[in-house]
Amino acid sequence: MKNKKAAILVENVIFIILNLIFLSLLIFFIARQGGGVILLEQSYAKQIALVFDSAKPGMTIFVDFEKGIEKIKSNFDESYYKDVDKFKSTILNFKDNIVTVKLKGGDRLGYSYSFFNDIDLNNINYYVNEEMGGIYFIF
Amino acid sequence: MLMRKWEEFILFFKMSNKKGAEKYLSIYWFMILIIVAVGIYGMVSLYYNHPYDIRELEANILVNKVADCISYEGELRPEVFNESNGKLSKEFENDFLNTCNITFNVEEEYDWGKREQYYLEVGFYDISLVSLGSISKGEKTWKENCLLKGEEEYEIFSKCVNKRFYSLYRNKPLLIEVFVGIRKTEKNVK
Repeated sequence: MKNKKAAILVENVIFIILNLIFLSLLIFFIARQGGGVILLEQSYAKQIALVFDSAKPGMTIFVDFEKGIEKIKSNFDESYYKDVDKFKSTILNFKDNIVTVKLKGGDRLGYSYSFFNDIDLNNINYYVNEEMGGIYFIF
Repeated sequence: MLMRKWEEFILFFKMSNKKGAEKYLSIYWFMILIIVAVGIYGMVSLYYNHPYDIRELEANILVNKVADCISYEGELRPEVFNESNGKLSKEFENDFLNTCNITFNVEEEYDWGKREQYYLEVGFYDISLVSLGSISKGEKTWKENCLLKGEEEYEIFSKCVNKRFYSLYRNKPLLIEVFVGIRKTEKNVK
């Protein structure tokens, strides 16, 4: 009698554990899809292009880059987000009126998007604020 | 055949042998889980594989930029019209993009360099809606695309924004219509 009850309990526990594993795998999959490098690069490049389109001289605009910083930390060494020149040449690059965001190393080119605002890129400063989790653009 | 299976399934519920019924149920349960997993996988993949479409936002910003460029504090810039003949200034028209700090350069992908991805049109009308001239830059096909689709939403076509506002020129009100069409389909629509 005791053995039968114990068997039922074990079966139920296994059933619940399997269901929990299934649910956590689903949540992990959804979270991974939403925070993928390709999606983030596209999102940041388009967001920054829109910021540049609407910017006027004298403005300071803050762009949330928290997830981007996390990716950079895991995919590049520390110097890439602490050294401004390395950051500008590799992670967030501006050429003519095209912004390119690259959050993963290797041969990948990153994601590029153009903006129509013909501003002088030499007059624009930007730096990463790790505490705030974003980038300040000073136009 | 299907009815027989269903009856079999019901019979399992009624069976005194509960353990057998539970086993049968758990197989069904895992089949349901697999169907749910495949469904969620499909939906999530479909959602995240679509690029963000920002063309309408871009077009709205461009319209505002043009409006700020030709009109300041409700008055038209003096160089838009010729002081002598009151017609649209040719110099302003030719140098419009430079004057307003606008560039139509785009990334060299998907052969975008061969064809401009923007269309911009600014029309000037007097109070009785008589045209005083217009400025157009870029590829006119994108306007035709938008006119063609009418009320229907075809994302693969260009996205357009059309706005009107009034401004004063020599103390007379003028109606200014700004039309912007942006293609950039490959990076905004799948």
